[in-house]
Amino acid sequence: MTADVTLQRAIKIPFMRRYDPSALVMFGIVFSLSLLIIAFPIIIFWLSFRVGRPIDPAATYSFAHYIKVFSDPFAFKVLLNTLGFSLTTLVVSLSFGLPCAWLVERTNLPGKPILYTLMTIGLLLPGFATAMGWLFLMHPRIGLVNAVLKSLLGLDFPVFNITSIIGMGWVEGLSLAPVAFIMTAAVFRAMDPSLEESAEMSGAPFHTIARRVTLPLAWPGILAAGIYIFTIGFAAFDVPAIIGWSNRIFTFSTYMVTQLSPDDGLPQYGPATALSTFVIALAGGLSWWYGRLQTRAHRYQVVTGKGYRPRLLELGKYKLWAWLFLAAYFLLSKLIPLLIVIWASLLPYFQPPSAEAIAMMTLKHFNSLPWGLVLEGLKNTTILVFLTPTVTLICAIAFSWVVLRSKLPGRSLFDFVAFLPHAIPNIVFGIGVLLFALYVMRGVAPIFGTIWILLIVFVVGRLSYATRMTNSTMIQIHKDLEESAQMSGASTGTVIRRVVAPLLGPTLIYAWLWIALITFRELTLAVILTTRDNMTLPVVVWSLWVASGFGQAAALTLILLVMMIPIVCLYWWVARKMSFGANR
Amino acid sequence: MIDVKDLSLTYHSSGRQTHLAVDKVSFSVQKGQVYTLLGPSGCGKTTTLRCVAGLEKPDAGEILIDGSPVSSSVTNSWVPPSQRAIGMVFQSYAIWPHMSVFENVAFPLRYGPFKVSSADIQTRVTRALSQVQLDHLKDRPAPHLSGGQQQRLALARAFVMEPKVLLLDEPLSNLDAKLREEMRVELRQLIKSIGMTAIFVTHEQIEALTLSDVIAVMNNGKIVQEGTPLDIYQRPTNPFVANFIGQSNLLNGDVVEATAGQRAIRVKTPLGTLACEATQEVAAGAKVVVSIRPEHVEIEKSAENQGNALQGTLASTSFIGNAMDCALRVDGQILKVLMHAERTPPIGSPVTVYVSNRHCLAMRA
Ligand SMILES: Nc1ncnc2c1ncn2[C@@H]1O[C@H](COP(=O)(O)OP(=O)(O)O)[C@@H](O)[C@H]1O
Ligand SMILES: [Mg+2]
Repeated sequence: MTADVTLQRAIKIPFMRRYDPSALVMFGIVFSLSLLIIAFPIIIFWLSFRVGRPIDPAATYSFAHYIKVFSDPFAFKVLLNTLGFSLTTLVVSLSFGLPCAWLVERTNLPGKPILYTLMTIGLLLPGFATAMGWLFLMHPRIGLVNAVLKSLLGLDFPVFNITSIIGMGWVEGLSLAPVAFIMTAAVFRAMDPSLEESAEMSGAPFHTIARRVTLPLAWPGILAAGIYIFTIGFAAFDVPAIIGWSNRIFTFSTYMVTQLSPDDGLPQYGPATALSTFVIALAGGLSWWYGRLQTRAHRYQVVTGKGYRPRLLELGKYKLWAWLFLAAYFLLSKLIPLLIVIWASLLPYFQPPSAEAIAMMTLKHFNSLPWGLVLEGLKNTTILVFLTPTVTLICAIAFSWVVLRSKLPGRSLFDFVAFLPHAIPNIVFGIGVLLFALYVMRGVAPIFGTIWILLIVFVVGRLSYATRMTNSTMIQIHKDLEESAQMSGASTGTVIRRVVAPLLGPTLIYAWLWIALITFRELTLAVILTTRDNMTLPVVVWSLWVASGFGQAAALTLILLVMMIPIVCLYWWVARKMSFGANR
Repeated sequence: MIDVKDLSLTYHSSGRQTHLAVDKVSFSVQKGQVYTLLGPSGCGKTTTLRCVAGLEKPDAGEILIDGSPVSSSVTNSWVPPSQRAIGMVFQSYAIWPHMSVFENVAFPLRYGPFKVSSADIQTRVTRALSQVQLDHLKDRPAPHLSGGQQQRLALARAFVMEPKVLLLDEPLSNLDAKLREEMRVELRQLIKSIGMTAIFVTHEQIEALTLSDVIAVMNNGKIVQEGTPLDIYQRPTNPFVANFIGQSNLLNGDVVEATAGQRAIRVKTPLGTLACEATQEVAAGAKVVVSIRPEHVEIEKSAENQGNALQGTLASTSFIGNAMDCALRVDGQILKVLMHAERTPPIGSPVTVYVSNRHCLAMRA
């Protein structure tokens, strides 16, 4: 009895002495970043009730902002717009992404690796680029398609109007179809194919199997993908900004920007924070549902662990149709909008192709770009493209290590915190960081208007993705590999550097490149937080666009895309190396 | 009932790698028989079964069910799996988790090739469920079943549409040891009581021996021997079979004496010259393998076994419950012998053992 007691006492080593310095550094990173992540929504919540100047001691608390926002018919209209926009996005992206996923995972469609590559790389094309393309195509007045149809059919009204909720949802949906594809392909891949085969042995025809077995089983996964896409659509900025802004059709994100930097008067933080709080609650509800669906989806997955490979449906003569469908998607979502952007950048003012138009072609827009601003933006973007993925991945390794490997009580809470930026729309975090910089950091470190504030918000925004990557790889690395290094006397830092990091290596390179590319084209978060002094390249594009320099904006977009090409090639090469042997 | 002729299938996995999974396999199953494909993991049993089901397309060969070809590289005919009217139990059971027990079993009747009225569906599903003793669970969501219940549900679903043939792919391998033992006997009774023709796939010899009317032993994509369980066990014609089914001492040897038309031969082995029985026609000088099962080695001399007497010393013993597993050193060679625990002499003592001629089986190497 007494022996037991002393033994128990002996095991209770104080926290600080149980871990070596590098472990403590990792705890430090995780604690402070978690505090920051939680602080942002809390600040928003706090300020949404604060009436008067927030730092003024005389300010009081009330529901005034909420009442103001929800009784404002314009704000209500914005909410309705946003709902319609995200629903259209959802429908469009699933109607392209889901069939693609099924074709790749369940049929003998040729050329699957190319399709995967195109889909992934397609995700990198910035939304503002395709939005510009579609605006030039289907603007009710200047749109190329409308102009051609008008002259062909002798109409006096436009056939298509892209400057509408449905039109914007269509464009956003096309650019999010790869997300729908990647998520639903994973669902099909995880499903036990013998569930379908046994239905086939029962004599059921193909469409019955699809309706009664495949879809019901894939449903939780598809719905989860749908919720995720809906959330992205809800907070999307690029497309509503490029297409809707000048036509005064606002959705949540663009409305937020008008509140935070109105053309006239002071920033309206009150209504912005009240609406953000509402969106946080909505996002919370959706992620709770998402989580429940995910657990249900996992229940349906292959459990036998046998290397099942599903038998692939012979497409036969439908092969051609399948490829036509895919080709139509790529034409609509990538190629045509891009060609139009190129066309627009080469004309003094936008007009449909004709002999005269070709005669007018000029490099004027490229030459007249505000190069001083562009080079400043390029400098800032370059710094962020290198720093963001590096810092994010260091933090992600620390998070994964604490969650999966340390014995810290309550460590799974940190996993939840790392998931928050995925669940809550990024733009809300942007607002949180903005308020944090203005009201908390002001006296301590004036980061507002510097690229460091962008670095913070970019790191927070990408943390969910990065920790998902490091978590799943670290789970696969057997603990023994680390423990044997520990037993040979290595410190935690050495174990991470010499054992974990090399094993994580390929994943880290892959994730680094992806985050770098996403950072390069990030517009939403940057727009909220930039001033004259910390503009990034996409923000320069945006400022040209709002100043009605459409040709210049198109020209700079092209320059930006060309600069992305080398990193995309590198990314593609790494992705191919990684999937080598994974048979895909 | 089922005729498989010269079936071959090659898998083309990643890149240029190919794997001949089934190599010119032929067999036929009579009506009402339980026919078993037995072999080590990866020998091509599942692939053969999936060809019969129509879930894989063979590269060559012919499959006939009830005399009509369902897959033939000769006439290039092909019947899709949904039209073959075959019931199949998958290794994972493939119970649809989004349906109830009743709905799972009703599925083949509801959506299968034969139209069944809903009243009929009710009675037939109920009957099938009571045959597998699951009638009291019919409204339960299918995931809420134990392993054994899921296995019986998969079985009921497979035979509810009264298919001509039942295919079972390692149906017992997902059960725990105790349940597996019970289900072995129960499964055979069930199949027999429904009166169905079945092809059963397993890598467990004990399952094959208990369940089957005929066993085909497979290795490397080929059938190496076919016969009744007793035949396969007692008269292996192939060293692989002798060693895979039960245990065997395998001795390489040369035939020193053989008479045409006679089974009895003499073989020179490392243990000396033995009087053996040939499983195939062999001539003097031929290379053979002699198989002696440990339980056929006796320590008491009798009229039958006095022909082959071997002298050695007891090298080691291990007690395995119902017997003593012994290793006897004979001329520097180890001979495995099963002895009665109480009659085992101490280690190191000289022992003389006897094996009757008919238990020394000589087969072509
Ligand atoms: N879809 C597949 N692609 C490539 N090779 C396969 C596939 N399925 C099975 N094989 C290979 O074919 C061989 C036979 O497999 P299988 O018939 O499943 O063996 P088993 O006798 O264990 O049921 C194995 O070596 C296996 O690795
Ligand atoms: Mg198998």
